[in-house]
Amino acid sequence: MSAHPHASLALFLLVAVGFPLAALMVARLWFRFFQPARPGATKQDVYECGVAPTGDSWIQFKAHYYLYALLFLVFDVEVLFLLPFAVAFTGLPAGALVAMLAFMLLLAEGLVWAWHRGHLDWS
Amino acid sequence: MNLLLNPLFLSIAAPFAVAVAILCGLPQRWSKRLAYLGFGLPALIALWCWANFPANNGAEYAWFVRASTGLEGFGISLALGLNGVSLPLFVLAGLVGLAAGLYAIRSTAERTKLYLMLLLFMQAGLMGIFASEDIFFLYFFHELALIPTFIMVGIWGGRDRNYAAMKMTIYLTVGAMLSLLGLIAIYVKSGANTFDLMALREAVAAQPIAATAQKYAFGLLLAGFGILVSLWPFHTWAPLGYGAAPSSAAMLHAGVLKKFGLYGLIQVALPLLPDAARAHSQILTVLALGNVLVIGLITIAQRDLKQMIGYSSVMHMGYAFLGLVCFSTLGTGGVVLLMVAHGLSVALMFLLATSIHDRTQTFDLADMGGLAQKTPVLAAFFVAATLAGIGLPGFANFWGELTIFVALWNVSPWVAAAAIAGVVISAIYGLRAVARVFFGSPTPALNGVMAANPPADLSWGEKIPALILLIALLVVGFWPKSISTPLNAALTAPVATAKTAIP
Amino acid sequence: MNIDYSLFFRAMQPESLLIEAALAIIILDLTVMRRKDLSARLNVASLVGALAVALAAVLALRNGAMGEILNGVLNLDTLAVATRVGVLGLTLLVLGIGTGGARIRNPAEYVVIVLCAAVGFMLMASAQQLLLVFLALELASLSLYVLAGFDKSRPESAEAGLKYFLFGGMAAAFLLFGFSLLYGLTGTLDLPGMSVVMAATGFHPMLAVAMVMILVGFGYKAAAAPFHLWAPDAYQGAPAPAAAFIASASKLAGFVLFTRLLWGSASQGQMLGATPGWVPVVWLLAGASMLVGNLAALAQSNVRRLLAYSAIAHAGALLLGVIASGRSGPGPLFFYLTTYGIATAGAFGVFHVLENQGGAQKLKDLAGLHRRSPLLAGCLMVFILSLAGVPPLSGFFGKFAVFAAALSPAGLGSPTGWLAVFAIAMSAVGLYYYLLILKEALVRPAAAGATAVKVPAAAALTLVAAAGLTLIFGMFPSLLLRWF
Repeated sequence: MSAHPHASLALFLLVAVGFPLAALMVARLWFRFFQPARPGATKQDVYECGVAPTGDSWIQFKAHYYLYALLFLVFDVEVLFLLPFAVAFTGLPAGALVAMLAFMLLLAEGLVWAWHRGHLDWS
Repeated sequence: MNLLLNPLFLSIAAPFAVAVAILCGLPQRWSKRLAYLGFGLPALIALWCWANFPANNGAEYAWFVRASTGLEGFGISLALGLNGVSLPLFVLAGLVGLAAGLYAIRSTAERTKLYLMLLLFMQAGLMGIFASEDIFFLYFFHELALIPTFIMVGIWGGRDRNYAAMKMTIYLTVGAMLSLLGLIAIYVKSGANTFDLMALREAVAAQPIAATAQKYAFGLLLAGFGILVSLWPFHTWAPLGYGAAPSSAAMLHAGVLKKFGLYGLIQVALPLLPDAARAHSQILTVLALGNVLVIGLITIAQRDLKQMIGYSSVMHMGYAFLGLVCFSTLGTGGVVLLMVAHGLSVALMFLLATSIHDRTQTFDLADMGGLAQKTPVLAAFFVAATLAGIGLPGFANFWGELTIFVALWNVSPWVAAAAIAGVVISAIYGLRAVARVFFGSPTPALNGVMAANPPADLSWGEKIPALILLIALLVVGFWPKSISTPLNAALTAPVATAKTAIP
Repeated sequence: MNIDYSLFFRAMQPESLLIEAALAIIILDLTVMRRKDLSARLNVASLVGALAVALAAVLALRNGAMGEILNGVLNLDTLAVATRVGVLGLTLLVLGIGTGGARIRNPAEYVVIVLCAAVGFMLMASAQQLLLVFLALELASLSLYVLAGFDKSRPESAEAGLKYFLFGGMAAAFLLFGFSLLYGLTGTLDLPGMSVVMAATGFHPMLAVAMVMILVGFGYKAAAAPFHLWAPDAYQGAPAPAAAFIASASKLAGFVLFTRLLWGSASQGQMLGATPGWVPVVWLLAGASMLVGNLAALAQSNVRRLLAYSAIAHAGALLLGVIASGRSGPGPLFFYLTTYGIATAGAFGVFHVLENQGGAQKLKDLAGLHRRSPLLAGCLMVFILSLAGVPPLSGFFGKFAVFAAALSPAGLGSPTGWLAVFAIAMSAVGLYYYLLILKEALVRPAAAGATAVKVPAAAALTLVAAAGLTLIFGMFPSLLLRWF
């Protein structure tokens, strides 16, 4: 029997859907037959690394990290493209150098812009 | 170069150019002066064409010119020319346009410049409709003339103008879209892939359009054109719109623009879709009789002078449709004659109705009376216009109605008898309106108005446009041959052929 | 693999010019203009941007159709050149109407992002490789998300940005999935190569899945029903120039790209258009868009939402044009897209001026516009009538050309023919709500206390130019159509 080339995909799908369902079912059965029903304040609490929680769980995080994440991307992407470029450098024509310089200029100006706008000041 | 010297192109370009000049900020005084040119030149050209139209040669397009639009891929080119059918209507457009224009220039409407500009755009469109040989441009010019109407009703309209403008716009645009679809269907189904009327006729003469295609194309055209010509029961926009429209707009729309639908049926639908036209003739007869009889009775019941004229214009369209379903040269020719006559007389009526309103401050027939003593000339004009509307011999309407009745009699005496009963109806409401407005004694309210503001007789600003229309009515009435000879030639010829230049 | 860089750089002149201008604007803003007030900064940035856009259009026209670039990654055919110039023109329009807006807080960044989006659109017009297609699409989309949420002090704008972003991200995921399936099926990313492989192997069920994914993605991006839900909120909340950009240039580039994916270009034969069964799906999308757009627009009291629903309705007509362009070429569709873009961007421009003068977005706030500003009222009339498809304005000829193209192969009897009839019936419905706008602007008397509207010079110039173009393209459609 020659299976369809994508038959394995169907198997994956079956397992991907079936496994979590099976696990949930087992948990449910465990609850049904073995677990004593003893609700309490401690049991309902928010789990926080095993430490007793303090205050409300709905707090506002300072989300300024994302700026640094974005700026990190500047260098990240730069390295990502520079490395293969450097490896193949000897075999590339002059046009490729121009293109890469333009690319780096773009990224550099992003950094300059962020610096000037004061996004690097942590406040 | 050929195009720029063409009289037909000039008659379209002149009002358009003046309108554009006003749009670009011409001062008020110059606007009015140039507007005389914008309305006068098309009328002069129309009269010149009438006088110089090659006799017995109506089937060919005279003064034919074709200009490239760059849309040849779509089969569209700007082709202008007059044949025997379009000549009378071209003249009608020129004359009514001149009358409406003169009336508007002398009127005291606020924001005159804008008003004149819209009228001039409309006039350019009207001249273009009847000068176009290409059916795409036929439609294009119709829309160019139609849009200003809506704006004029919306801004300068009388009572209920918001509602009237909205209703008119929706009805007429739906009608226009349906007819556009019908025209595209012809374009697609004829196999000629062109909007050029002569090429279409040749293609259809060689290979008629398939029966089913004819049926839906004609159905679309009939529905679309029917709404535009206020075929019963799609007429309700007309009395309302005309009742609210400012006088010059009503003159141009009821007098000329409304004829577009009939013109389209005669020039496009009947020659290209003959089988379907015959298949639809029964239903069309019933609807047209509805126009004549039902609307006729409604007209009698009207209390408002302008509404009454609006309804009477709807009623007369019924005769035109009846003439079409005869499928004879006589009937179709009668329709063209009636279109010209009705266009002139209804424009005259709207003009005079506004003049009456200026003196009595009312359109309500019950509030009028005894105006003949104060304004005898106005009364004389109104009586003449009414008699023309009824179809008395001596006026153009007589010939139109007579030919239609004769043609109808040949087809079906019963329908003819019913249609002739319509003449009695129009006599009733026409003469009753004359009696109410001009004779009897004025109501106390009217006496108050007239005491405060004694009515003067027609000024020259009103008389000249009225005279233009009345003289045209009489000329056609006494000399119908000037129209009927080329008309006959155009309607009897099988395929129209072009002639590029006739000196 | 040899890459001709000189050819590549020459072909990319317009794009690189825009990027250089964007960099220059940022540097200018950071140095010379640093201490100036907001409106001066906006004006300088817009001026530099507009000059660059105009120059780029000249370059794009001068370079003309250069054919395949970079080993066929880009294909600069006539359609690509026309779309590039069209996008640049619409960008100019958006920059023009954006001036004088006091609300934009970071003017230089605003102009820069507009330019970036324009680059994305231009690449979309010429991309011939799925990777580049996706990159161009995302460059444009991400710029548009930012633009939609640019006015972050207003919650509506933030909401518009977020909604647009979430829906757009979803659409991108669908598209990417569809693209990956296509790649898996054909083993190549080049569109011409794919069409060759597909013609050789014939139909495969997975192709239908890919097709559906791509249709869903484009349906979202083009705001076709039933994927239209983001559009009213985005159009309402986004700053007016951004909404104008989303409605005009983005549609132009998006639909051109979609047409390319389906029909390929003239030289290489059809692409996915050869897949059986996609026409009914697009047909349904088009019909649903026209129905939902036109009917929902009737109930709107906010002009922006009204224009959003009208955009949905127009998307339906455009999809009809996509179906038709397989046989008639992309000319009618391109004409429709361009003229629709000009008219709708112009209408948003009018609303932008009004909003800057303190007016809200309600329909009744337009009352008495013909007294308060005859110029705005006149321009608005031209734009709205063109959207409604009234001759002699260009919207009419766009509709006419698309419907004629849709009717011409099989006439009224075919499903496409019926869709064209339906489209015409729906444009009659559309006329009603367009007239509601015009009634307020032209007929209603102004509310008590309404003052005259001051129109900034640049915005006035742009609006008049747009209205003039709408009229000129309507009277002489061959100016655009002769490209094809």
